[in-house]
Amino acid sequence: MTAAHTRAGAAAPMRFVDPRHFKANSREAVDDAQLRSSFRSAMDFLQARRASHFGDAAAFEALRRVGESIRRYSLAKLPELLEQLEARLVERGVQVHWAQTPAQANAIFLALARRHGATRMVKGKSMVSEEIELNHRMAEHGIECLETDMGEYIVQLAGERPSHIIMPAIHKTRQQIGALFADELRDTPYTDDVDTLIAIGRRVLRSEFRDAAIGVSGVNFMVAETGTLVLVENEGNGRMCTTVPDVHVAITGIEKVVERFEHVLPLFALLTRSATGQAVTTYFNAITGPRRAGELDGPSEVHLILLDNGRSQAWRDDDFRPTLQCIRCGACMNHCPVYARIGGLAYGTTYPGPIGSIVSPHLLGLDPTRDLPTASSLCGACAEVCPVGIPIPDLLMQLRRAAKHDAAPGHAPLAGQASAKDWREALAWRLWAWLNEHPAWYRLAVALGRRLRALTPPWQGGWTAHRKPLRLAACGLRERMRAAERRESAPARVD
Amino acid sequence: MSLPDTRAARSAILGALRDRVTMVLPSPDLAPYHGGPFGRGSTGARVDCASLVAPFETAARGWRAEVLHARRDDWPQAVRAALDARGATRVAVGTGALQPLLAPALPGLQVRRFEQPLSQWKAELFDAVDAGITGTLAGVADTGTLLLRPGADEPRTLSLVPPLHVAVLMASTLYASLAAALRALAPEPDMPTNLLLVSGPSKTADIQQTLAYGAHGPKELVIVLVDDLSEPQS
Repeated sequence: MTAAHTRAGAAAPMRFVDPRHFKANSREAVDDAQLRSSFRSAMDFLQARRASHFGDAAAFEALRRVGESIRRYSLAKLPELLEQLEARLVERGVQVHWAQTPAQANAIFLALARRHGATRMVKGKSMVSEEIELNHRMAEHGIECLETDMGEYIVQLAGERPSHIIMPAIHKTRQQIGALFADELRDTPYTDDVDTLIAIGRRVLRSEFRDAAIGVSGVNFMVAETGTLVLVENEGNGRMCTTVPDVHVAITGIEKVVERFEHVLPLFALLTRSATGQAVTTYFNAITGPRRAGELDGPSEVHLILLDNGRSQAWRDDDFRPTLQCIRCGACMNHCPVYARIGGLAYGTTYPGPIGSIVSPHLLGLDPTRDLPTASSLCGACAEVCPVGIPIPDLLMQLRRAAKHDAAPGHAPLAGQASAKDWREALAWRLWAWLNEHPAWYRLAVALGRRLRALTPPWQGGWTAHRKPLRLAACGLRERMRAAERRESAPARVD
Repeated sequence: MSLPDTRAARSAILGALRDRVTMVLPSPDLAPYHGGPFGRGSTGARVDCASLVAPFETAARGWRAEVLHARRDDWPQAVRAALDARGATRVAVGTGALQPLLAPALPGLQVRRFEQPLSQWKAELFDAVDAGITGTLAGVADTGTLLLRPGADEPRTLSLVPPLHVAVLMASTLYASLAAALRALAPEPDMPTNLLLVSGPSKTADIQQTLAYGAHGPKELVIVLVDDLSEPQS
């Protein structure tokens, strides 16, 4: 990285986790006592913080309905709003780029870096930049993309992915972070005092803000009518990245647009309270265009990259469109009993937790992500706290169905549709349905099953890992009922 | 080097969205927001500013901002006192309406007027300025928030880069909620390059949810709240 860092070039090599290995990753995570305790205390903290703002359930419900209607309205007008946004941005002097895939988005970043002769960029927190793996793609071309959000910086130094979309380093203890800083930063003795650790981060990154030619950021909301990009943050690194370097490149998903500036305010009220239980964040930074004549700071060039990456697939299906209502607050993961136990890294995707399980199949296809929608007890806590009313359990069910079955008539197949289809399972269900439709055969099958009861295998795949083996009862419900009826009617006959 | 031409991606994305007929939904009804607890004072008569001073102070202190009370005729001295109390001797100021009044209160300090482009004195602003002083467009009582509209006379970095930010707020610009402030000041349709809300000094809870102040922006925020509501003394 820089003089402050002991390592030349990029941070520790990234340890990628694959969503294909979700089940194995989860088992490993559940066995990690430290990780579980980190997540448990963080989830309790975040749940309590949120609850302190929404004590009045009716007020929350009313605000949530406003938020949901704004998001649904904006999505219904998405193509028009994107064109309007683009026109306003261009009028304001912002250069707008479109990318269907992460590769296309990275090509734009690379071209911008080369054009400005930049070997380093500073980056404010952006989950979409994680989605395209910007840091690693730039590193392949000798360009360093330095995270500046404290949590993201820690995660980057450690060569990990963020484990939470709002609090990326939630899985690490201050002792682990102290050791990491001592190892990775020059002249930095070990400390586990949080204020000192933050002061170290501030010192190291301050000169990076000052010297970087390009600042990268995400976007929380885009306003079509005014061509405004809104960024919400606490640390000030987002303001640094969007103000100090001469070039600002913002990247976000196409779904983040709303029509009017006044639509942002209810969403902002929901976002900060749901995410970290704050009435407002330290900064709400609304940017409309590059530096204008007479202004003395701010970037002279502003670029916006609008990324699709599977979002239009979700948008085109009425059943999946609500997925895009998300404002990325993370409340669903904070309240998810599965996420709380396995943490964010086990998912192996940019977005973990319930929202990740419904977004990732569109981003990556259902094939590698087929297990994610099954990681839910469908308890509904996520839907209960979602500030924009996304029916997450319903969407999980639909994705489970889509992973196993061909598309229903009138629905285009999703990427990876039916990839988890298993002919043995399909055959078993078909046989089961057929038996239930043919009572004589059903009785025969059951009678045969009872005879062979002693041969029931004691090991039955995943079922017996945590449960007793399934075996047919020696005497079924029908037989018991019949026997009971005989007993009851017997005395009458004696008469 | 030329940038990739992304028009094909644009047509593909918009094409994919356009070829599905979508029912337009009615414009969202914001009335429950404006009429509810989160939009206080955004409909009907403006909430009396005098009644907002105390709630503003409580909320701002909740974000660990310092609030100093001053009168119309002595606020520059209050700014000076805030600087002196923190040993800030190298001070950056803007070139706006505050300055003629402020300047006489700053003798003996190294005062740097922000009148050149940032690129010409970036290192100095980053490494050799203790405090930045700005005005504010409005204050929001319910959340203890300052509304800033940086521009040529008060650039964006003035409230961002120095470790201490001193903001001068007139009590007559207090609004109950954010919705009320923005409705009154109506930035649409002509949004400035930067419209900024600030609530307290910069902070982070990224290490074990432990709150630490002074992440990347100012470590301290001092709000000099000027009582311009009562009649000026003759």
